[in-house]
Amino acid sequence: MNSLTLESIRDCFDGEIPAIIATCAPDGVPNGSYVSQLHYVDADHVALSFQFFNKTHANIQANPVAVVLVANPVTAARYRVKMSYLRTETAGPVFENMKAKLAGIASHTGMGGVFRLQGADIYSVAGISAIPGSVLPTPPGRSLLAAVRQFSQSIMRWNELETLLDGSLQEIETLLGVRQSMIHWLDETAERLYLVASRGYAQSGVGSEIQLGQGVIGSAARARTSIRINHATSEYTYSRAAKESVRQSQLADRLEAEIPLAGLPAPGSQLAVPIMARMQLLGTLYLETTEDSQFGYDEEDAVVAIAQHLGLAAHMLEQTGERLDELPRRSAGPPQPSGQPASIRHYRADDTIFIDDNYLIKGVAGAILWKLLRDLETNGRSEFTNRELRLDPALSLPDLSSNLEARLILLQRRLAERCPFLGIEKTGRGRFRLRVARPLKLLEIA
Amino acid sequence: MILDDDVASFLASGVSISVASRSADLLPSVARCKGCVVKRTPITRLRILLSASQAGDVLRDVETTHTISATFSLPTTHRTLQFKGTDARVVPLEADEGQAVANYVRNFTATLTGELGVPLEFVSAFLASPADEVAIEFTPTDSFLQTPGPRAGSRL
Repeated sequence: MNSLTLESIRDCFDGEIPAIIATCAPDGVPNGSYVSQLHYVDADHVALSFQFFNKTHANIQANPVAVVLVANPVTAARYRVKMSYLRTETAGPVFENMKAKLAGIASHTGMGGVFRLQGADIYSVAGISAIPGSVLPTPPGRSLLAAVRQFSQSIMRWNELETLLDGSLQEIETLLGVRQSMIHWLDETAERLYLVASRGYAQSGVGSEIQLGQGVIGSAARARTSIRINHATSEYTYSRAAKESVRQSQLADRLEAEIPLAGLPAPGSQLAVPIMARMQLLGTLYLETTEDSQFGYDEEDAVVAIAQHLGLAAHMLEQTGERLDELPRRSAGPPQPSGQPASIRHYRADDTIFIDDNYLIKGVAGAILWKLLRDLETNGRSEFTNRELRLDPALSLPDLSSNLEARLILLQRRLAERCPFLGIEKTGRGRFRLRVARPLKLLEIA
Repeated sequence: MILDDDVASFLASGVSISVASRSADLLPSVARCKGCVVKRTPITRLRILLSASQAGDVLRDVETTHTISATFSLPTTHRTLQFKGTDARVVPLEADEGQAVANYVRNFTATLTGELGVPLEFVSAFLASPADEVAIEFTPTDSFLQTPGPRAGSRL
């Protein structure tokens, strides 16, 4: 009788304690080797990092059987896992995941310049046996299932994208004890993500961008997979990814570099999870801590489930967004503009907006702001609806209404941080008011 | 094969030790070990000490095929050496080898709890085994550098 499953011992596959793998050449010479990374793929498969053409890699190509010794990093329970080599993957979710994780292990073990993932060797597991010996008790932990249950109940309270995003990050702190987190949304080019909500940083970083494939967030988004790093690695820090994204981008995008970044300077643990709905990528949820090894497989599962709820909730808000006939919220009348006029320049080429020579925003959010300001100037209007923005051919908004919502949140937050005399106030679901406290001088630049 | 003093003392120090063997039909087996005694006369022989009940298929495979690969790795530097042989046999411990096991556990514990900061409680559980050690003795005929990196796998 053997009740051990791969899933029940997956904590052994986290690179904390090097595994030992034995293989055998076709001429009968056995080989033993230390493994820097064994990765749990699913209930029947594991993957081994392949960094160099070594004896293990050569042996399994000719004789695809292997046996591995692993140990639980908390309880010291040891297991012997028999497995068969299937194939080597050089792209895709498993590869991206291992690549990011390997960077963490490499820098943790002082091998940063040496480890570089060539491929993920995928094995199917044939049998697991426990090695007799001492086992330490498992320390009591937070109930992650209870946390996910609580989150799935909380999420029903939030009926706007803004409260959904902020509420989710707040709830993650309460339920999981993770104080630093951010949400990026995919922009209309589907090549970049922009920060739309963050929690726990001195600078909100709203509006800063990450290119797909860059850092742990960009890699998770590109490969549509969760990525978890348990040791500090300079290669995958948020600030490095954001700076790289800026370096590789067009001139207009470099203005984003003026936005102060959120992100811990040296995170010990990182977890990036794609936010999806109906197989479409909406954005990413990212958690980090200063301490090492805070996120295990179970924490990853919990955050993936939370991100799934978040994605579905965002999608449902999109579907019902403007059908509700909600009465506008009451608010004091708009203040009369007073004081020195502010000059607002709009560059038509990329919808960049400068306020008194300071960069504010670009792209869709810039185009939206310019439309609102023009409407105010020519028609005296200050009340708007999301619907009219979506239908405005001049804005050419993408289909996803969550993207418009997210852009409005971005615009609102950038204004709140950078331009106190201009503001966007929600007046109801799908409605808002433009608040202008100083006279404006609009300048259109071709 | 003649081992220089540096290598001989490396093998007998607080390094991680494991052995691999294989069955008649080329299925590999592996076990973590609890010490190594280096015999240098009349020829170099390595005696790898390990718990019989933790050895899995290794003892049976060594008895059947006499093939062995023994790997020694220092976790603090990643220096890794591997020795191979084809005349391996499972034999009882010699009189002073119970003490060699105790010394090894002490030295490897110091390696892990020292620079690497692994808690002592964990190391004690990790290295615990029933007192059922045996030795696998073999003549090393081939040796390889296995320190991770592009030169891993080259002959010593």
